[in-house]
Amino acid sequence: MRRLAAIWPPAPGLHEGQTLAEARAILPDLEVLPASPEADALALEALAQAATRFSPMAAADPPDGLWLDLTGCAALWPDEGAMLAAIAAWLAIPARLALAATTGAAWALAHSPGGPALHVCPPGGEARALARLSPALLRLSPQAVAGLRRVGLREVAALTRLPRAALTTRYGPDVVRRLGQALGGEEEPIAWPPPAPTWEERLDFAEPATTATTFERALLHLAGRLCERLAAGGLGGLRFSALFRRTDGTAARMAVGTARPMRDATRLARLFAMQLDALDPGLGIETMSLAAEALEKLAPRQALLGHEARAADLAALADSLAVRLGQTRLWRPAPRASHVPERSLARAGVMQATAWPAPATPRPLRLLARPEPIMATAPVPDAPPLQFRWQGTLHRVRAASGPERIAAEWWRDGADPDRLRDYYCVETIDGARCWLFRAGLHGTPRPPRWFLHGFFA
Amino acid sequence: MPDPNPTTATLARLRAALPPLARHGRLPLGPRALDAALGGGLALGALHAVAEAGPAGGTGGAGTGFVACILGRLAGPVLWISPRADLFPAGLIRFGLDPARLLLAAPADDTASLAAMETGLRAGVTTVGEIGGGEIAATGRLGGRRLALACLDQGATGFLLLRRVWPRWKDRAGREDLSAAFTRWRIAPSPSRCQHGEPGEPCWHLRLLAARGGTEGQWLVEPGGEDDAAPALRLVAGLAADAAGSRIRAAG
Repeated sequence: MRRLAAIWPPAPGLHEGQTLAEARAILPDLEVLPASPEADALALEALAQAATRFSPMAAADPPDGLWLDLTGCAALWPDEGAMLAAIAAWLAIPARLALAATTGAAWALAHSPGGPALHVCPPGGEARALARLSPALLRLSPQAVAGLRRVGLREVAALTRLPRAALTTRYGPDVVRRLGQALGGEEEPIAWPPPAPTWEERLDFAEPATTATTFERALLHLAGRLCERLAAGGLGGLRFSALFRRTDGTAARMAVGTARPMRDATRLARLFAMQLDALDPGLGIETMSLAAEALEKLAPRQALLGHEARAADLAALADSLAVRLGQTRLWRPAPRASHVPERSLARAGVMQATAWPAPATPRPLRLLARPEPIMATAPVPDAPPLQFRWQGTLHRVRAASGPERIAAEWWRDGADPDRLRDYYCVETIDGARCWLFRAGLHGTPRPPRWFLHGFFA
Repeated sequence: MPDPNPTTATLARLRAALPPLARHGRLPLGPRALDAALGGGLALGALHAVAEAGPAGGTGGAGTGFVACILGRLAGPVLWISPRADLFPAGLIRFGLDPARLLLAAPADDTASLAAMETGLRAGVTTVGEIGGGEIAATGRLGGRRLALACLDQGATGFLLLRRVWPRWKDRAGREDLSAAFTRWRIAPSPSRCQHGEPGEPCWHLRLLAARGGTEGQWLVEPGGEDDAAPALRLVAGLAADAAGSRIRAAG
C-alpha cells in the first residue's frame, strides 16, 4: 500500500500517512512522485552546505531541519529579525525560522504548530516563550511524552516547576537533559560538518565586476594562491571548480577536470579562462572562489625527461581539448571482450592506455556506426556476393575472403536468426575493400539480408 | 656586388647557407624513387595533406592506411581527430600503429576539428585531423598556414586527412587551399595481387601532387606491414607521371 509522505501544496483533506487510494479519491488529479528519503537527505545536506553563506556553522537536522549557529552574524543586518527575513528570502521555500539562545528553544519555536514563521526569542526569554508549548516540542521520546501526559503535564511550564531529581527518577535522564537544552544550562553538541573545501581561495571584488579581463586576472591570482598551497602540501588537484557569486545572490559554477593531478597556476587559470565566454555575469560578480575538489599526491616538480615529459604534455593537451570539445568527445580506445564488432570497442579515460591484442582475423580501419543494408547478388546461398549496390552505385567484386561467422550474444538478442552474421572481406574491381556480412540463415522464413559494415585500407 | 656568373660552387655555397627545408628531419618511406621525389623522405615537423579518393572515397580506408603506415614508424602518442568517430583501432595494428598510442577526439564540426588539430600540434603531439565529416568547410589558406606554423614551431608532424565522397571530390577540389602543406597526396585503392580469389596485401595508387623541395610522382605501393622496423611502404610499380589512368587499368 502506498502512502503519502509529503504533500505540496497543502490541500484540504490530505495529510501525511494517508493511503494513496484515499488521497486520489479526494483529489483525482493528484500528481504522485515516489518518495526518496535518501535524495531528500542529500538535498538537505546540500542546503546546509549552501547555508554557510550566512554562517560558517550550518548543519542538517534530518529529516527537514537546518541548524545555523548565528552567533555574531547578526551584526551584518539591522537586527536579528531582518537577518531571519533575509535567510527566509534566500531559502525561497516555505520554512519556519526561529532564533533563540539555546538549541532546544530554537527547535521548539520553529516546530510549534501555529507559531509565527519568523520567531526571534530574546536571550533569557526562553522559559516564557516555551511555557505554553507541549513537552513533545522538547524533542522527547513518544513514550516520555505519553508518560508526562498521563500525569497531566501538558505544558513545558508545568515541567519546569517540578524538581529535576524527581523528573529524572520517573522519566529518565532524557527529560531533564532536553529541558536543560531548551532553557539553558545544558550544552547540545551539534555535528557541524567540517568546513567546506579547505582547498579554496576566495576573492571579493570592491565593486561588482563584469569584464572578462578582470575575471582572467582574478583567476590567475586565485590559481596562484591555490597552487602555492597545493605545492606546499605536495598535492595536485584532479578536479577544480570556480564559483562566481553574483550581486543578486545567484551564482555561476565552472568545473575543470584534469587528466593527471596538477598545480600549474597558469594552466589552471587558462583552463577556466577558456570557459569565460559562457559566463553570464548578470549585474556583476561580487565574489569569486576557486577550489580544488579532488586531490592526489604530486611529487615536487623536477626536470622531466623523455617519455615522462611527453606524458605530462599529453595530459596538458588532453585537459585543454576536454575543455574545448567537452569531456565526452575525447577518449582513448580500449578493446572490449565481445565478438560483435560494434561492441568490441570501448572508450577509456584519456590517460588510460590499454594493451591491444592483434586481431586473429583481418579487421577494417573504418567501421560504420550502423551496418548499412545493401543489395547483393550471390551465386549460391553460402558464397560471397558477385556484386553489390551501395549508395546507388554498383560495385563488382573481384576477390573475397571469408566467411567469418560471428554470432551476436544470445543473452542479449535472443534467438533471432539475424544474430548470425557471416562476414566477408571483398575487394571490388577498383580495389576498394569492404567488410560485408550476411545476416540470417537460408531456410528460415526470413531470407538472409546483406549489410555493409566497414572499410579496409 | 652579386656575381653575374654564378658557378656551381657558388650555388652550392648559397644552398648550404640556407636552413634545411625539413628542419626537424625526414622519415624515409622505403621505396627509393618515392623518397627521392620527396627530397630524401617525408619531412617531420611539417604538415601533410592526404586526400582519399576512389570509389568509396571519403569513407574508405586507403588514406587512413597510408597515414597509419607512417605513424607506425614515428614514436609517441598520436592525437587522431575524427568528427565521424568511425575509426576502428583494431584494424590499425597490421600497419604497425599500436592503438594504445591513440588519443581520439570527435569534434562537432570541421572548424572545431581544425582548432583541435592546432591545439594538438602546438602541444608537440603528432596529430591527424580528418576534414570533411559532413558539410564541407574550406580549410582556407590561413587555416592551413596556422597548422603548418604550429608543426614547424613544435616539431610535431601533422596530417590533414581529407575525406570526400567521390563525385564531390572533383567539384570541390579547388576549394581547398593547401599550399601551406609541405606535401600533398591523393591516395586511391588499387586492385591487389589476388591469390586464389582472395584479396592480397592492400595496394594503393599513391599520387604525390606537390612536395617542397621535391617533385611530383605516382606509384603503386603496398603497406610495409606490422613490423615497425620495416619501411613504411613497399613499391609494387612505378607509374609514368603522364599516363596514370591507362597504367592503372593495365595493372588491374
